[in-house]
Amino acid sequence: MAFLTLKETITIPTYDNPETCRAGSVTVDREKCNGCGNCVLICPGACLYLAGVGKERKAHMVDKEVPDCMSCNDCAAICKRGAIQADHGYDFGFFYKALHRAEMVPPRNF
Amino acid sequence: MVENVKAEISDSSNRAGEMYGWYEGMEWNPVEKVILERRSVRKYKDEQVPEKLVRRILEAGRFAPSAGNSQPWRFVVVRDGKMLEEMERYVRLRCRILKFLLDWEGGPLGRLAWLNSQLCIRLMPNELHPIPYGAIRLIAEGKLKLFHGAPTVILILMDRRGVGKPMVDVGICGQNMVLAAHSLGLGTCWVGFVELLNFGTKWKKKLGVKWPYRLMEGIALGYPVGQPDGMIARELHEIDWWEEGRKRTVF
Repeated sequence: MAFLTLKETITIPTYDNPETCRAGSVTVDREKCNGCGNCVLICPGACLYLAGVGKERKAHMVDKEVPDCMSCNDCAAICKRGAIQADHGYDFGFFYKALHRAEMVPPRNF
Repeated sequence: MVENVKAEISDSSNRAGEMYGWYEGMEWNPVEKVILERRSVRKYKDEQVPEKLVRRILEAGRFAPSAGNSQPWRFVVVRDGKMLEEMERYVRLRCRILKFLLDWEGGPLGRLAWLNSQLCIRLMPNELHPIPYGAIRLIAEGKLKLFHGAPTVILILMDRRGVGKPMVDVGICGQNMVLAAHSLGLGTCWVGFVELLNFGTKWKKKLGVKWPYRLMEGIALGYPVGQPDGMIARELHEIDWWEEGRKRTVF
């Protein structure tokens, strides 16, 4: 059962504390990524960058404790090679705690 | 008998992608496909969208359902590149001011900004949610563009005298247009930050935003760069399911 306690309701989380909040995050498959940079162009949170030379040119996630990633998965949609994927949704905790959520699943045709 | 089954299978596969019917495990029909493959597009080509195409998309908005058929919306279409740039600059300046007042991380106000943000977040928990809070910072720093270079923007003004919950009606109307635009090969992105144009008189005057109207949302329209559309994974939501006097939880 997911619910908010009184303490959570009245506490505003500190947005930049990695101990209390979990930002979205993406995993780049280094084998599949060819460094085309499409995901970097469209990322609304400016969370991705290209690094490396030649064949080692790959997308990376910025090295911030709490990146601006919101797990929108737009990077996964634009990647033709399926090299990038969001791992989990964001959860800032306390007042903004995510409720009644489960793992990420593609659309299901019942 | 075998032939019968075969005929049924081929019959059902023919029906795949058909509208106004359902059988279990059927392929997505065109409307579902448009809904599921729509992504927010944040990189547009310079090519302008034909006028007639925008008019057609606006028709989809006009026929959206609304409480008591109140139609509490008004559209403003902006296709002037210079004007869009000016709007973007205006919003960026507002974001800089907000960042100055609220950013406790590296701002000059320091502790005072932290106290201020604690108060403001409690007063406006939706507007200052961590995600838009991060976006304010990104726009102020110039890392995030407001309209993402879209050549056409539809602004949605809400009539505040609408029936019931006009905000919801405006959202339904906008989504109608977004889905229509996507089905016609365009990319779209909701731009909520146009609300910052309400702070100050310049754009309110120019766009005719006065009582009873309020500028609520913007929809960026244009031809996307690359192929940004596709189905992706999203979180499952817990659903309470009541049937035959008992409750189940489904996902």
